[in-house]
Amino acid sequence: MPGIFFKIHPLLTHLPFALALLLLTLAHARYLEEELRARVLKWAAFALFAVSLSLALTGAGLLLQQRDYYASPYWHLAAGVAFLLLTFFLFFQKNLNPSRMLQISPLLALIALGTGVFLAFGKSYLLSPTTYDPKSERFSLVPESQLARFHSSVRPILDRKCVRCHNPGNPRGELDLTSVDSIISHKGNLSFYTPGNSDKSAFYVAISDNILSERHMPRMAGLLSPTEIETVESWIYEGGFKLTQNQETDATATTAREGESSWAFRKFAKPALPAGSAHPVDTFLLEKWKKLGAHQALPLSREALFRKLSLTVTGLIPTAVDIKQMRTEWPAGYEKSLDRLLASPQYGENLTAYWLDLVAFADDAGFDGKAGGSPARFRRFVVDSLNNDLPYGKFLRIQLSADQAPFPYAGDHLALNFMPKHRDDYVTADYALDSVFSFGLGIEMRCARCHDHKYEPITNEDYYNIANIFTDHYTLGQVGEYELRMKRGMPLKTGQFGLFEGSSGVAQAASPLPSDFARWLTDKEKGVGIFSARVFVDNVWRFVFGKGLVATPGRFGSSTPAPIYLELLNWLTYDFLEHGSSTKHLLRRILTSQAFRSRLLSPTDDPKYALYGRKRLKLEELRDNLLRIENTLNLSYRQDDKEKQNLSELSPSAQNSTNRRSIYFRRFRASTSASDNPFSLHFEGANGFASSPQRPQSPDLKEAFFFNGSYRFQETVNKLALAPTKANRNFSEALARQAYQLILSRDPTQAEFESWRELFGRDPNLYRAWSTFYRILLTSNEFLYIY
Amino acid sequence: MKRRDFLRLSALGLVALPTSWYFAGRAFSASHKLPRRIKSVIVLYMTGGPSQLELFDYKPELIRMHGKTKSGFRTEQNETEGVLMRPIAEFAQRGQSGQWVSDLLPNLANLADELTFIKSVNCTSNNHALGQLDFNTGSTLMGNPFSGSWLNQALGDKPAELPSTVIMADPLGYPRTAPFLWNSGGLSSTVAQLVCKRPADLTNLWGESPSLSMPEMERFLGLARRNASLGGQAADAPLLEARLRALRMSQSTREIFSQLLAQQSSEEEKKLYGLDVELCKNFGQQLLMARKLVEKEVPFVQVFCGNEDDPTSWDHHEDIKQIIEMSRKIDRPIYGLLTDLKRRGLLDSTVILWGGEFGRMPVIQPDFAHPNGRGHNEHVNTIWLAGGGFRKGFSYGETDELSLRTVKDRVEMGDIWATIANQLGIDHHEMRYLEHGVEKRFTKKYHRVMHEILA
Repeated sequence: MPGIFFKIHPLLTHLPFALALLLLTLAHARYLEEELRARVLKWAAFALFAVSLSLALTGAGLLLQQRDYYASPYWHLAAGVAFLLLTFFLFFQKNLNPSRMLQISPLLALIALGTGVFLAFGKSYLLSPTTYDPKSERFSLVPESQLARFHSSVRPILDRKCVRCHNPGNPRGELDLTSVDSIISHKGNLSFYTPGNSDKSAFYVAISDNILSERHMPRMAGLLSPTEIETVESWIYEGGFKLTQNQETDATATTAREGESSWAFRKFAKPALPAGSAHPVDTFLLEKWKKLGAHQALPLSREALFRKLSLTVTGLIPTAVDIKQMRTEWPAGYEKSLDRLLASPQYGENLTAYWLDLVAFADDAGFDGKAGGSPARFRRFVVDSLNNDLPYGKFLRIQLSADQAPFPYAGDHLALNFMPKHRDDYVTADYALDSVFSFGLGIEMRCARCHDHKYEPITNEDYYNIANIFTDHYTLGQVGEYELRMKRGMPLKTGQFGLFEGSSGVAQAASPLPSDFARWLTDKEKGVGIFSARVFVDNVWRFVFGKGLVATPGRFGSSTPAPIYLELLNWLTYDFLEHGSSTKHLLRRILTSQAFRSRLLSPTDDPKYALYGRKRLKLEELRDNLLRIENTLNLSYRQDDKEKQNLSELSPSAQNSTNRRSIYFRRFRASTSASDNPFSLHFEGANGFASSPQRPQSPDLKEAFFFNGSYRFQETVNKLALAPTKANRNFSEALARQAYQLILSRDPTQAEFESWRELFGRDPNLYRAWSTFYRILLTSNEFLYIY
Repeated sequence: MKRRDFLRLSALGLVALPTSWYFAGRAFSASHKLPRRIKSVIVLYMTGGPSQLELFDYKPELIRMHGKTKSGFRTEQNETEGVLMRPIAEFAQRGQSGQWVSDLLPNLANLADELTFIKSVNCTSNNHALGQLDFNTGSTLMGNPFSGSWLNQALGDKPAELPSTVIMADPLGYPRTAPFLWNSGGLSSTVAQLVCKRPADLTNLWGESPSLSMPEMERFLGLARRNASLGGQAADAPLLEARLRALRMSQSTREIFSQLLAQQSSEEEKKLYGLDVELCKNFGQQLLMARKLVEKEVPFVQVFCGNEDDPTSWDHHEDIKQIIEMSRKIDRPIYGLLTDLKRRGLLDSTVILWGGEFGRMPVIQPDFAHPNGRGHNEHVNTIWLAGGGFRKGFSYGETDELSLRTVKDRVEMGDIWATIANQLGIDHHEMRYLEHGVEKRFTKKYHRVMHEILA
């Protein structure tokens, strides 16, 4: 109620102005009689006096406000109104001298205005013609980065006018304006600034709003001058902190040099194949190495190469039968073996394990640990698609928008549409969005969820525009931020997210569907199809070599240095697309190269040039191969319909007892029980929240507990060691050879034979000797890493 | 990556640095210019956000205003007013220092002269997951290493029998943020945490199966090293060494834990830790184990109490009276731990940090059928510290008359961690590394060592 009263205050204070002017005009009217003129003049003098008093009071009110933060912003208005009434009262005291009042009023008004402006804008406009230096508040015409401009122009304003109340010790409104970090991470109802749109920026709205508004800042004295407001507006208009590619980058964010930063977003053509008769992949490497000196090749033995090939393609070590067959066919039959491995169902299962890491798959939804949709069918779809070599674009499109996919997938979106599968679950939707951008385009999207991306040109608005595509179907209830940001049906601006050169915005439709997004992601002509294919090619390269061509897994951004072998990556991408986006073709290309077939060492020690990374067996692969060595691994590709569709519906112990491949085990994001989640909580691995193109490769304590005292590992050692012990067979070269072939696919060296013979000679306990023997083989680097 | 390569890269200057950090495991090392005053840190983490109003932050004004409507603030549920509710417990000034402790913690109240209260801790989020991450990893963003890992990385890597961080979760369940709390991010794998629910779990983490005894293990390690030296091409020695070291630690940990578990507690000890009371038993056993681990010089032990999914956590939205049972659950064990550490002369070399993600509201949260609980309040949180050179019987920071907002000496968990790091001889600004060009830090740049709360 008092609010309404105060809102008419400006009207009341300005009324005397109008009245005074009217009366002064009247007073000079010729036709007025002298007596009346004097009376009118008296009225005019009174009105002017009232105005002056009112202005003076406004100044006093502001002065008082400065002293007391908790004072109502309407305090001075109340005083102003009160005094206005007082002057009316004074008017009826007839002994006031009108001419005297006329003389005093302008002076009073001038002083009041001057004081008010000084208090409000921190600047004396009475003296400003002598002190004002226009250069001091203008930024230079030389283009500077937005960050530099922030430090040179915007920050001084904040320091002068804002940090008194917004600092770490006293962050009014939970806003700390002392550091770039805290400004960026501020979470308000309205984002602190929205690049290019000052009206949607809390910062601009606060400083430019009506002084009577509750939002108006600063609340204490020292309003921002129009020039300062203009500086802020211009900075926001140019994008806030957002760095365009040509601008120098944030010193804390990256040290990548100019020019290098933008390779990931630049359109690329298919590079010409360098001269040479070698395998295309090798010609690119040799071309790079030519200038550096001579490279070395450490050719692998047939058995070692076959083991590496088998582990790479199927994730399983070859059996004795496989090796025997290989020996009859090789070396001419390398490609035949490769084709056979690619045709085996185990290939799809192995690549699925990697794909599930990439898409951050889990059987449960969000933080609640509830199972959502039908993860079993999604898993089976991935395995089948990879085995049938579904073109990558289609493979991706079906997963992103199965509800609009053609038969036989149509309507199966609950199972296949991993992204909006949990439409009622904002947490999962966010993580899914993040992983789609990570494995799809190599962009770390999650940063833009709370603020504009620090070093990629992605704004907070971009994020919600895209999230909107996937979330307009679900009800967003209690989540405040979402509620404010996601206006349902808000049309996506065309041309948004035109980050990638030569591509259109995400969608042209007014309200795009997931299928529009999927088409954009995979369209080579209008969308970003070649960029998404390149990220996939790099991930497949990492899958094979343990190290991607791009150094940072899943990140192709402004801060990512251009890879040394960029031409190779670009060529492979085009080669992949020209061959029907066939993953098998891509693998065949890579696996037939000398780069894979023999260990090529680059001529330099520089790790940037190194081809291979460490490739440790994942816990899942380790378990599968332990079972393989025990000869208990159940390779059945598809179970009968009568059986449970998926192991993930069974209890952990039942899962284990089926001895099927670990890919069919359930993966939980959030779990309150370690037994629900044997592969994540107790082993460093993919956690199902973020796309993980690479698992940790170093040994750690969690792994040690698996090797020492776990049922699974002990079982394998026991089985292997008990067989010769029960038969009472001591160490022999034949048995050792058999064991080495089984586990390491090679014969022991002479030195190894002798070392083992010595061990068995010293140890009277046959079981202990054999179990030590096997334990050492099963914890060796040679077994655990793919060389 | 070979050392030579690393040096070579470093010689290339700044441009190469992030890349080399990336390949080198991105770990940092601290300069150790500060004296180390304490050996160990024990964190007692109350999952859910315990109510400061019922335990330590005495507000007579709230009792007076009980039942009145208060407006002009914003709750977690975006309500702007609420009905004030008086604390359910009676308060009294305790000990010579006159610290206010409620009668929900009658035993701990006797030790008020040993505690340093901080009543002005602010959290950057009013959401459990983010609050837990903020408290325990220094960042609300997932992927920051666990506090114990940060501190241990800074303390440096020493050969040890036990892991440098041991976490005992509530037997009722892990926090939902577990996969993100208990990770070592880009730090070296030697600072990974060991997680168990009950101390006994450790001995059968992967199902009951005999492990190698320590002599067997030593013998095995020797043979494995020798075998690797014969293997030729595939022997990647540092990698194998790391695995063997971890294997050895797995066994020494197992044996020490079995040993410690096998130690019979005297009747007096049982009583001290509240092991004779069913309610206190689990927490008491965990704290007893924590004391034993501290004796073995484990640098970082954390015990979690409460699980959000369980009705008996510290997250009392519906009925604040549930705090009575939770307080009983921790009162005797914590009293026992502090007393035990003190009489063994370990209290000065150990810091005990007690707290949860945030405090609670003075008003009733109305969303329930029988509303009688309090919602989250990220602007107010009371934690306390004991031992380790902190100012005893001291209270730092103030909240307003209703404990709705902090009015004096506002701090964040980063300030507390910076102070604890200082006592461990670590300059908290050194705990940082680059990941993909972004600097990860444990504390924020503006956090500071709180010298006011140090003796």
